[in-house]
Amino acid sequence: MDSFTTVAALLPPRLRRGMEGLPYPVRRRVEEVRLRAGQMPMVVLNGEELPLPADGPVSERELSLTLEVATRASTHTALEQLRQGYFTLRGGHRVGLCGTAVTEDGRVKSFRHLSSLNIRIAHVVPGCGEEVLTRLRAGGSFPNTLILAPPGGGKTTLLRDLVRLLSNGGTRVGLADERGEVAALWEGVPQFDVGEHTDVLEGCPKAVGLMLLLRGMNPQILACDEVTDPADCAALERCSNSGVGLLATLHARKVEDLAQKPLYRALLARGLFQRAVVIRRDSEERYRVEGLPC
Amino acid sequence: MLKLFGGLLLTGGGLAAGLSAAGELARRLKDLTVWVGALGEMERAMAYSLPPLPHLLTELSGRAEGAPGQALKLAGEGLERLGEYSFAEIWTDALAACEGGLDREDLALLRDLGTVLGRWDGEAQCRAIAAVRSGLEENAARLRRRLEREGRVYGVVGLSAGVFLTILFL
Repeated sequence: MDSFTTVAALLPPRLRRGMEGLPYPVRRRVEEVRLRAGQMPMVVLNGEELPLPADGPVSERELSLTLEVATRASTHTALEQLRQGYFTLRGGHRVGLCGTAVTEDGRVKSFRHLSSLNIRIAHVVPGCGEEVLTRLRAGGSFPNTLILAPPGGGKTTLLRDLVRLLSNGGTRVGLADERGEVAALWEGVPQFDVGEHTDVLEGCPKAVGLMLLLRGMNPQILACDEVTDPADCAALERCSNSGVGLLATLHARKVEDLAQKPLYRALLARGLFQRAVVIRRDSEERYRVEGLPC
Repeated sequence: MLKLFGGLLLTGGGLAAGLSAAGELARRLKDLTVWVGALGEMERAMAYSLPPLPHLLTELSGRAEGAPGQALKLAGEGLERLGEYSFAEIWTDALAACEGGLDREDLALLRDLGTVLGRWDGEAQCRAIAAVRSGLEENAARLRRRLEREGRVYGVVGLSAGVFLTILFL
């Protein structure tokens, strides 16, 4: 079953019919399905929301039914993720949710009423990292590398493929997959191919996860998605000092942006990374490899 | 001779009716006991391992006898219809199809569980399951006492009614 069909099967019959009514060339390009209570259902193509054929707005009941299917009527098994506002499905697709949160001691306990769901359809582009890896390795060994792009720019997709290529090339990779977007473990099994020699630690804060992987799994390269925290940077530095290679992503449009943000400025100043791969969706050269000041 | 045969039939019928009434109560008690056991297992599973509902229902239905086991099995199979129906609706349908000996009060307690299972966190589900189990245990305890008091009475009343009718018609 392809990704689109898998996601369509989550939906109540009325909305599923709308999805199934989309032409095949459109189906392949659907990135997200957005359901908001009281609004018409939408799909996202190339970042733009377009209405899904439907005879009326989405109801709260339809949102609840969708979440029940997605969690197999087992919210309690997915609660830890749901508290973060998302849930990863078999196949690596992700359901984000909004609604009336029930909190206890400042922590989200559950959601009383849902107001919207966003189902992000996982897209894998195997081989997208091949040429990038060849260029990165031009100098000999694999350099510590940052992948830069704005949100939704394809960082995770490229990270996943580079991890896969490195791993299948015989390198032991430790993957700190905090939000489960890179490997998307389902009952312990990665839903995406991240390579034969990759150890995945999911659901753990990156800073902690990187250290656990370093101490327990003897990696040759450590990979993580979206460095956003000073603790992440400190953990990366400790890992680098242990002689382990690094591969990470962060939000930036270009290398020059790194100097604009204090967190990334500090990262540059530490000289941990030698190369950056800048992803440019609207350019012929989609992946540009640049040197970083060491 | 015919009258004697008819009389025997009436007497036997009365006895059977009395015993059947006692049997209904016994059947209800048996189903209540099985449900209490199943809910106890459900509560323990939720407390210790938070299993997905499909797995939990399959496990429980394999160990529960009679109508409760069938209801749990139907509820598990009904998960195929999620998306079209909520789990609460699937659960209610399963209970309705396999009432067994339960009465309206018992079923109302069990039906409420359908709005909780798989929707709340593990702790809250455990509390809800424990509350329903406790309600069913109370019903079972009351029924046990009633059966001890009135079980034989039903048989005797039935037999007496049969004899009375026999005398009446003879």
